[in-house]
Amino acid sequence: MNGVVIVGAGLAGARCAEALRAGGAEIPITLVGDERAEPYERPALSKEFLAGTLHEDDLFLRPPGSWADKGVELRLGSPVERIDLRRRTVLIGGAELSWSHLVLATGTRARRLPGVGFPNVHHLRTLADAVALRAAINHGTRLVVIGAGFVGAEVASTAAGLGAHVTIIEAETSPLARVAGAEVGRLLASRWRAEGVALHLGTLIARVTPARVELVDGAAIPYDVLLVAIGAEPASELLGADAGIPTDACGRTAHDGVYACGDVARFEGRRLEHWTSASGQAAAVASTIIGAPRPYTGTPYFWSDQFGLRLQMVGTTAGWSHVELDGDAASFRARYVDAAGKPVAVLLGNRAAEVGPARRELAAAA
Amino acid sequence: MSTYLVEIDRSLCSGFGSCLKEAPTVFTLDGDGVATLLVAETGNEAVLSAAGSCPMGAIAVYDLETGEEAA
Repeated sequence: MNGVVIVGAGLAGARCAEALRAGGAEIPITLVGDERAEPYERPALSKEFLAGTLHEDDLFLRPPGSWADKGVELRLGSPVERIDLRRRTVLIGGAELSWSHLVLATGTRARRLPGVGFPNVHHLRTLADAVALRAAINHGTRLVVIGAGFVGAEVASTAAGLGAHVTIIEAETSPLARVAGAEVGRLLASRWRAEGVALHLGTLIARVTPARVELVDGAAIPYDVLLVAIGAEPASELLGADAGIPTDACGRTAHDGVYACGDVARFEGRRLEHWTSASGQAAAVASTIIGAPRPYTGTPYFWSDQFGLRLQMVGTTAGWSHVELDGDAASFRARYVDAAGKPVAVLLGNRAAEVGPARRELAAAA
Repeated sequence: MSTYLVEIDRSLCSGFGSCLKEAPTVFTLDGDGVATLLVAETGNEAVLSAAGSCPMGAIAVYDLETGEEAA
């Protein structure tokens, strides 16, 4: 059958469907998602939604019901069990669906701590996760967050704003260390501490019980709610890949007629978990299916709102050798430079108007 | 006070809507979920952070006095 089947109804899948229609594609499009909700925005899950200032209805990517108007058939609550590349089918609920083009936009799932599966242990990836977490966090709740990455930081910030007592545990010696480096990490740590968050950095977990986290340094931290925020893994097992699905800059995989975009894709050798790249890669895949390929070559970009700081990063800090830091924990600009002196990334804190210049500087240096 | 000229690259816009939050008197989303200008020129400095908050980098802001790109 002639038709596009998109597996994954998150941002990348939904934007791919939209871009196909915007580009004039007239073939049938089926958007298959394992979650029950219509396509929604995830960025608010750790922030406004968790804080209660946005509600489920505010999260929809497009008005409910509008997908049918675009000629996009939604198959929600429908995990794909198997893909048959030779016969060009996917198996959903025991029934086969054929395709001429298959787009894999299955995203990631939250990494788990083996053996830590108590009822008061949470992860955050989906709307259902966020609903459960929101119900669990109240004024006075003792929240322990394992992992000082972006999800952990944003949930900690929101929970602190709700009056929870928040503790963050991190193996690295500074928050957001992998992305921001130690110097900027220390700046962020000072801000988090000033906002009342207890930080245990550079330590490892010895044991987790349903009531407390015990660290190797002997500390035992009691909790009511535990959030495990130790990163995400690409949901690429349908293609038998375990580190993301490799594609070219147009989202083409090694298999004819099969594409990937968003968090699951290893796009030209690099897998990113950014809103911006998911959207841009989805458009590239759509253009390729339409037959007028436009590769996605955009500069990586992401943002994070935490503890009164809007963090915005342009570029990627992979390969940086030193950082030029201007400002303080209230407002700063960190410019990451490689060994040859070339800027590779800029991280801004509460300096939104400097994003454009940073984009232009990095584009000129590339 | 500067006057700014605002441009949206509609082919890049993904309809996230952060520009509306930053500068609701300047931006809106049209029926296709694509950002559209309510005014093309404005003295409202919020257009600078609106441009900076666009995840697709789809908004350009020029200072009309200097002719330079301002955000």
